[in-house]
Amino acid sequence: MSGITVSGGAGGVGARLDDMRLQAQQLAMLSTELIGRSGSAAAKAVDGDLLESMILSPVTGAAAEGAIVLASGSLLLVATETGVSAVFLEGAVVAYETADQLIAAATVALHNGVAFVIGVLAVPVALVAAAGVVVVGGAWMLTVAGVNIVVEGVDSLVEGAQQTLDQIGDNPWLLLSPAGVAGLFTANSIAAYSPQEVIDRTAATYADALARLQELAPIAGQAANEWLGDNAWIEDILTDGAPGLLAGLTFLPGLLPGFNGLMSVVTGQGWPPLTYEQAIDAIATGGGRFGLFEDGTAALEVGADGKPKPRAVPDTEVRGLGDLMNGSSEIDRIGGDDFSDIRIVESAGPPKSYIVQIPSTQVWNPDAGPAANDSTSDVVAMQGEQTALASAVLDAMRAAGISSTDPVMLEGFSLGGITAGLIASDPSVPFNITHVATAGSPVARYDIPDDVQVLSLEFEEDPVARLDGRENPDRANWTTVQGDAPRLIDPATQELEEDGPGIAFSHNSHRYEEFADHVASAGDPSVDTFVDSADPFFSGDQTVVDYRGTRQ
Amino acid sequence: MASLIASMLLSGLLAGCTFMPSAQRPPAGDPSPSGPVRSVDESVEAIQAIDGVTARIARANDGSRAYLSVNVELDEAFTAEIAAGDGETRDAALLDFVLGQVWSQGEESPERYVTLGVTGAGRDQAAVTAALAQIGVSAIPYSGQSVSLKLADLESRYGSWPGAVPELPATFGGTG
Repeated sequence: MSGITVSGGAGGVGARLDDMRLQAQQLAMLSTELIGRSGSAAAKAVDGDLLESMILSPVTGAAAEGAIVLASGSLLLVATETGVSAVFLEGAVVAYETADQLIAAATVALHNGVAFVIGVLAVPVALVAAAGVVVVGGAWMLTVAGVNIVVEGVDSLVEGAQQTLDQIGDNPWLLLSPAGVAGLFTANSIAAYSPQEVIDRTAATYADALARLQELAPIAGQAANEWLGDNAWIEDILTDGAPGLLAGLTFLPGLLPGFNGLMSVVTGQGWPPLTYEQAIDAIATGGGRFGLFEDGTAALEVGADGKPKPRAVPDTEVRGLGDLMNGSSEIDRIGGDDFSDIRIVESAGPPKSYIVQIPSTQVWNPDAGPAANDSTSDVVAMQGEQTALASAVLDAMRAAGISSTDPVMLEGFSLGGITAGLIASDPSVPFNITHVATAGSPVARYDIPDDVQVLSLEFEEDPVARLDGRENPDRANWTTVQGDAPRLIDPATQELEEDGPGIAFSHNSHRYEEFADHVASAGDPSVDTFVDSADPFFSGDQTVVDYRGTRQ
Repeated sequence: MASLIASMLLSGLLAGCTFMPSAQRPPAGDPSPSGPVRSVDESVEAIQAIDGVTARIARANDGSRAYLSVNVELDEAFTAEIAAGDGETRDAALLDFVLGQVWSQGEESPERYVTLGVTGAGRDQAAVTAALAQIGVSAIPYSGQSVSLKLADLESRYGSWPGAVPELPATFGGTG
């Protein structure tokens, strides 16, 4: 596995800026203190006793006055230098942050501009390309048929000539009538011409070409898959520039009077949308007009006593990042498209602490079904609104007896991580969320509090992790680790994959499990700080239970 | 319309590009000449006819890769009937019957691979792997205590999917 790139966390730029800001504050306080001391010292120069003593001993008094002035002046000088340093340090932090914000704003504008152009050109280019394929393909097919007609014609002429020569050999008197020979030749050639032969030969050529295309398609597909994986930054432009993309896609119809008004009514947003959030809202509201993305509520499976039913999970422990990701795979496997399997791992402590594992998307259908972890939940969560899945997670936490003070780590792959970020950023959640761990989740836009430690694993090729269209915040409490998706032992063949996962197959919990193990042993200070802070979750006796949630 | 297109685009992206050729579905066998496709519920019902066994068959996804997830839970009622010494043979017979039932339903495609998780009564990944080896099905660890199975092994043992409906073995009260 190749190297990793770590941003944020204890060793990140954000942490250094925090340190600089803290140092600036301390310097400013020191400067204020020194100014105060300087003032106190200067006050001694006009002290009544000292002034009176100068009458008795003017030389000594003058020396004392000089020393006091010098001391207070020196203090003032140091105070001034310290104060200036504080101002410069604070100024450097502000300048860096301002420049960062300006670059971010310029990037958003650039992405929207590029995405707009792509959107405008997408449909015409697709139509031209499709027309080109039809024209070129049709021309080739006609050419093949035409060539075969000619070839068959030549063949029939040759065969007609041969038959005529044979007939002349049998009866040389035929030569006395050139017109008769010509007639024979014509008749023989026509008889030799076989339309069926033309059809068969043409069909064989088509079939051969189709077979070659079928052979080439997977090779070309994999090449495109890996290329897109290596250049997945293109997706950043489309997601960050989602408003521009939507505006571009509807630019031509938007020239029609009333179209933009109609789109505003359908999507519940001014059209075209101006921000990423408006674009997501437009998608959700527009889908809702057609009965899609109706999230509803969720409830947990209950036992005979009418209370949520925990299902014990034997032989399972969570001792590190890799185990977390393995658990994500397992709850997805258990719940499938039937229900949302929510896992709670209790570490005995003291104090008790809890890992809450949230499943990923299992149903790729915008029509909401029984499993609350579906694409409806994806869209609603990306709007920043609480979901049925999040509600089921909170119900499971209550059912497990987690108190408002017990430390909780929320963890998930894909939608599981999105939901973890969503819950952690909701100030009304009545639990003590101290840690969040995500894998392949677009969580950059969630306002997760500074006192929550966050670890986000994201593959460079992973298209889902990029759906937020921006980098995760570079903050002391938020560590983001990026790297290439590893090849795996493919469950389908039970052999090591021959091809790289590319953009299509990088979003995979087993790859994140392997990546997590690699990351945990890489010795990065930000990752190590997160892991150390999470040690109570991974230590001591553990009890693991699953709760089953379904959409109502 | 644009929002619908966009929603489909977003869903597609969220799906991790499911438009890519991820599924290597097995070739379907001859459809049953006598009636409709056998349902998941019918297979589950047949498995649960065995005392102490509950089962679920569901479609699942790991990112953009779909597979068929099979979960079997055993309780004391199943364990109690094991005579000393024949536990492994009985487990192999059970899993053979379960997989035969899974392979006989035509409602949910096995997609790229099948995962099998057996819980309860002390079963774990090692025990399941050993039992599957007895019926010629190789298994590798998947997640938790579950294992994954190759379609080629299942086709080899049960024929093209969907396969024939297996008889309940005599050891579980059937006629074999």
